[in-house]
Amino acid sequence: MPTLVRNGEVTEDSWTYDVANANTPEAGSILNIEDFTKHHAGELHGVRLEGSVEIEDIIDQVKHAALIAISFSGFADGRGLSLAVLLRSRYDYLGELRAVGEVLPDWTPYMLRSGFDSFELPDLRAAETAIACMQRMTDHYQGSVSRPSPRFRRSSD
Amino acid sequence: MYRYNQFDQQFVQERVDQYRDQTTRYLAGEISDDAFQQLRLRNGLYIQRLAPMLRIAVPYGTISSPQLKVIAEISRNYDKGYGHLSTRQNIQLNWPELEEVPDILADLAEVGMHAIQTSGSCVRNVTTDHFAGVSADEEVDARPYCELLRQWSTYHPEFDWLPRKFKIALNGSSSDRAATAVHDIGIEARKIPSGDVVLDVYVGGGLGRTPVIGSLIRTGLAERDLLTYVEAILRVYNRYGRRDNKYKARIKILVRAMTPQIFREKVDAEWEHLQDGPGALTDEEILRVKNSFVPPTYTDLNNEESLLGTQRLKNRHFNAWVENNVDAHKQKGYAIVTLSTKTPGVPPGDVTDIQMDAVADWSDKYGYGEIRISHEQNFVLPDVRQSDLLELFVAAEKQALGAANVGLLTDVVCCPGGDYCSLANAKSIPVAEEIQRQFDDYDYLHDLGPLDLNISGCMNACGHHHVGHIGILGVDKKGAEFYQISLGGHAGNNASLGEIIGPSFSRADVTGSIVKILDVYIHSRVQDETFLDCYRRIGMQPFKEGVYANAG
Repeated sequence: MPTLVRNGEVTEDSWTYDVANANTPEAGSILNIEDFTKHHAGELHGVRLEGSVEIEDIIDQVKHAALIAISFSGFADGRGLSLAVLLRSRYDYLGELRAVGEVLPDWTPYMLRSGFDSFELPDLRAAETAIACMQRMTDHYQGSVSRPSPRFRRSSD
Repeated sequence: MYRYNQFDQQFVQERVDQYRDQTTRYLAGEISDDAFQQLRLRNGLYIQRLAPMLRIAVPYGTISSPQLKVIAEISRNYDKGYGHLSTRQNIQLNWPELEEVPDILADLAEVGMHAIQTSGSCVRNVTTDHFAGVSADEEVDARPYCELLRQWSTYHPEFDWLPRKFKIALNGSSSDRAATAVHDIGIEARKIPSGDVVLDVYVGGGLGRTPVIGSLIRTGLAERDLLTYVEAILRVYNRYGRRDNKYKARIKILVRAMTPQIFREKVDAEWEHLQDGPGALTDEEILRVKNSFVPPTYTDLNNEESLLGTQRLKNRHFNAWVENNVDAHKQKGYAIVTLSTKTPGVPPGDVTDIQMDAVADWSDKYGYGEIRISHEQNFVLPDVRQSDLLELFVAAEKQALGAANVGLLTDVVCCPGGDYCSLANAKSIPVAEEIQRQFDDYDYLHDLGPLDLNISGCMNACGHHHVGHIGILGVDKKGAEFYQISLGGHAGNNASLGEIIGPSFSRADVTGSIVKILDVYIHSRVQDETFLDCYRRIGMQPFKEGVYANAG
């Protein structure tokens, strides 16, 4: 059972994955993009995207989703990071952005700074490690989704 | 050189603590081998054939004397008392213990050094002209742009998991000593009549299995746009670069598949969103970083032509050394000295702890405590008084760093090869050594003139064989080590990729083939024509005939 970290804490997950392929998907379920589109799902649903998706083509369909889950396939695949950055900074997506799939604790600081606010870790131990990892570095040089101003635009030391 | 501020220092320290924690969790079995590989690579640690290898970052090849002394000390304490100058201007240790790497990184952090992003699929150490800031032919000092890019790319949240490694090089001189044409991004900095600096951006150059010369995709980029434009390139690459085959994952493959024109359009479309965002550089920041590269307070001196003339007449080794290893400085009375690591019997780029200490001492005594590492794997002392040259030469000879062969055939660029590297198909160091021994006569070497001999032990091309005037590539032929020879490569202005001369040679035949190639050159050249110019004029055929004529 994956363990969810949201906003820096281990949290009970209220979302479910819709695997039944029901005619009327339940509120609070995460659908794949085909079902999400077919059912004109929106504010009550989530949608799961692959990192490789061409977001420009589907942004109008997914921008009202309450949650977008981005799947990391293979832990060295950084496409989901660019996708998250685009959703947050270009398309002003304000819903929950969740990292799913191969999410390892040491990767979560990158994800956090690229705009994710929740993370599905394999178990509680990994979730606790991820929280520690995300708190480790005090500051960074460049701007990011979580802190758009680079250091050089802030007050100097 | 750039001095760390409080934040730079804190950042490096936190990165050491982070890596120590990762190592502890790995050794406790909490991180898998595959996952830890990615983490250790981002801190420069490879697991090699015989032992781990730690690649220490030397940002754009500039290092201070206290820093070099700490590396010498580390090589004594944790290693076998030597290090290796790499073709990306870094320093590698070949024998550290995995368990001790966090301690090594902690020692490095004490003097503002690290191994961040010296390997792995991320933006690597940005490189530039090893004479930046001092050479007489310099138009723009590229180091501030390198430092801005270093800071921007360090622990970048979006671009640390790219399809493959990513190398950026900058040049601001009329001679391109940074090989910008064969980098993922190559940037030429130049001045326009207003006095402002603008940047020309090349993308998709590279060596490896598919050597490509980079394509120019933007001219006249303003300084303030440096980071946002590079960000746009990286985003296009991160999204669309191939991830299914690591040999097709570099940006050059993407640029070629899209065509440079379409790639440029994609980048421009992306950049439109970024150009005026918070990532755009401010005048204050550009000035702050430029101010950390202000020249030292030089003494008002005159050039020492007559003193040097007398000294050179009396000592023919010194004469040869001045001719090959000393370059013109922008400041009157000073010179730039290259200390060659290329002595027969020593793997190119290998330096002992004693040599490192000596170079650090010389940089204090004969300069301002600064040392450079060239991508040709030599040390450079950037600010030597002309009147001190002879004294420095005598000291360098005693430390086996006085070889007068910079830019000549025996100044071989060479990867560690099959002796150390688990990727290599063949050994490279013994091949370099045999050639160095064959051509040990200085007068003959000098007569051959400028000649870049580059040797790689496999097609990953760490020895940059494609851009050697003569390139040697180790290949595996049914389990035996063979060597492919190419001619006509060049890394500087008017860069070109070498062409393969013909069937590969057994190890025993390599040196003999080089002798034959050089015989063809000597008999075909017109007046002072260099090897490269001669090859470009007469083409491959005469060389082919010369090498294979009696081979049966």
